Amino acid sequence: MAVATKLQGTTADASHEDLVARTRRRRRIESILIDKVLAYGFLIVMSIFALFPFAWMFSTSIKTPQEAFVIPPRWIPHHITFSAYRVFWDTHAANNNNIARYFLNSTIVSIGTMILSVLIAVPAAYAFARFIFPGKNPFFYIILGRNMFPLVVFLVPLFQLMATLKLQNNYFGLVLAYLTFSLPLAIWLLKGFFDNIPVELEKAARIDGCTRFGAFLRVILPLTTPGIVATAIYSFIGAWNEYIFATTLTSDPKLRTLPVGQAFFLNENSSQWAELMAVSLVISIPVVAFFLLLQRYFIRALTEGAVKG
Amino acid sequence: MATATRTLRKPDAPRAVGSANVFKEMWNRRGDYMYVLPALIVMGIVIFYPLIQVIWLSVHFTSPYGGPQRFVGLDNYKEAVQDEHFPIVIKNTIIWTSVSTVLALVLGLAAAILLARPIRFRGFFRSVLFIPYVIGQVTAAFVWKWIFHADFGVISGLLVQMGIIDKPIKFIDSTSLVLPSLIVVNVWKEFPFAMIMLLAGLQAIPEQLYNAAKIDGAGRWRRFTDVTVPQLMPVITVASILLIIANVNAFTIVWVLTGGGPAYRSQIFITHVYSQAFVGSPHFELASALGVMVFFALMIFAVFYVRLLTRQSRSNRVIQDEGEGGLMVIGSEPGNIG
Repeated sequence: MAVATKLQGTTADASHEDLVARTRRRRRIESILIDKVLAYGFLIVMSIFALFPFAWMFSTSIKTPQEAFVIPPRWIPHHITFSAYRVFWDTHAANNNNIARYFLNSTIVSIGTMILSVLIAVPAAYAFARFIFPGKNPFFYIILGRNMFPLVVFLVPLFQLMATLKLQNNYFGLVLAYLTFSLPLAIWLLKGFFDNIPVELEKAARIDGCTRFGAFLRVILPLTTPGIVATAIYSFIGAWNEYIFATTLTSDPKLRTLPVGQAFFLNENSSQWAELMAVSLVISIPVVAFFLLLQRYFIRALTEGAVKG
Repeated sequence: MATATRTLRKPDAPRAVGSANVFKEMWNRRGDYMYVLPALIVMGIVIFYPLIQVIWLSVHFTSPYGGPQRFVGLDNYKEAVQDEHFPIVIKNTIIWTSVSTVLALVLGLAAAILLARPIRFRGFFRSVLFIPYVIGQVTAAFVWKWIFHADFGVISGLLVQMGIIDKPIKFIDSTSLVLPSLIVVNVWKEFPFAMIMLLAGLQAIPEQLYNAAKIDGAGRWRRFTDVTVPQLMPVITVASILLIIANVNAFTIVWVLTGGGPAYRSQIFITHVYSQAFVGSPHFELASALGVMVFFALMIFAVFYVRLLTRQSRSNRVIQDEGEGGLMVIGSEPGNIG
């Protein structure tokens, strides 16, 4: 750079032109190398790392039990069969695992958690976003803090509490336990969405004769619908994937959720890897689908915040 | 605890009010409490009560077979710490947490830097790299258990086929490889979280800073060390804290893949707590003591994090939004979502 400037000061001769051209070329090659080859190379390697377990999951799920245990392992099976997917309706094929029932249980518990979290969190989050009342800050720090602490700390007392309340092996008991993590998170998420709505809107509604609650109901809630939907889906997925509470608070096979049921494909007598992988793949689909939608939403929210700032 | 609350409240402590005024204020504001009342009741049952109960349990003797409980002070803590496996559990937890956090940050930062620029297929790569984060912990654990299988594992199989090794590697059945193998799974699962946070942070850096640096003659590397890194530091800090907390709290991946074995070589703190309570004869009192310990250890990080968030939200909106995104994603605090 310094050389080039110095040369510029003298007469612009051929060697200078040449040097500039060479520097430019070098820069271009450098930038192509870094921008394109390295960038894409790295991203492709990362993507393979991220995705190959799913490919292997799928590959295993379409194998016969014999071919699942072939050395060396085959990525593309010689005999492609979808018989492992029978486990969703045939309990006999699934080691007497009633996967359909687990699916139902997971759905009930996840929807229950979603509805309760959102119903309770929406007014609370609104109050945290808008009102000033004594005790607000300590309460809110606890909500923030809850997300930091291990669920295991809550597990023993909740286990005893559910036993006392006779809520073991009970959908409501599980939903209640899930609120431990779902509710604080929902309040925190929703508060962020309410914060983004200008206070002037409520003021205008109040001037037009709305009560405070009316303004919240008729003006603010409709504007927050995307945020509420995002929070609802987040709660759903949290409950759908949850394992530690489900496995501790339910012992009755009829109440098993999917993550708990997955473990029962492996035991001393048989290891049904094809079936396990089939179930794992299918139950990941709703989660991944939801998240790809949500991800766009959240990233947009993040970048918008950045622009506004 | 006392100091924690005090420092937390400081930024807000608005006015010196007498207690009578507080009650009057509360009465005047009774309408506000109706909004938070349902949340308060539910959190009382599922958060405050368990917290008090776990502390109570930790200072009482409880027989696994029932019978009267009596106050024993810190005996349970002493017994939990003097457990012969306690040192290795601590060692494993430190290795697990630090290595996972650093690797997830490095991979996440690399991916974020590449995705922050306008390249083709950016959305596609971002979505693909995000997927491991969202699937269930149990699903992730089982597919890796199959990948690491001692006889039919696909990685060993490929390496044998290529002639690099002659017999399968026993990843999770070997005392020396089990922890590194589990860390690989954990990093695979959580690096997307670091990536998304850092990506948002990178996109918030004003373009003018780079242009100014360019005019001053800074090359690529200088722009990275002198613009990107310092500008990104707040986000890196938040991401690190959240990752550390998540890793200390990790349970499912380790539990499903190895159950802490072989020979305690992959037993980390939370799986250890769980084993005390729910494996073999139930030692709720020891589990509670350990739970209280990790609770207070993590509170240091939590306080730090909350202070960071509140300070940033005061000075800078951009960062606050990032923090929000961060916590939102942590919600998946590995055990929960993802």
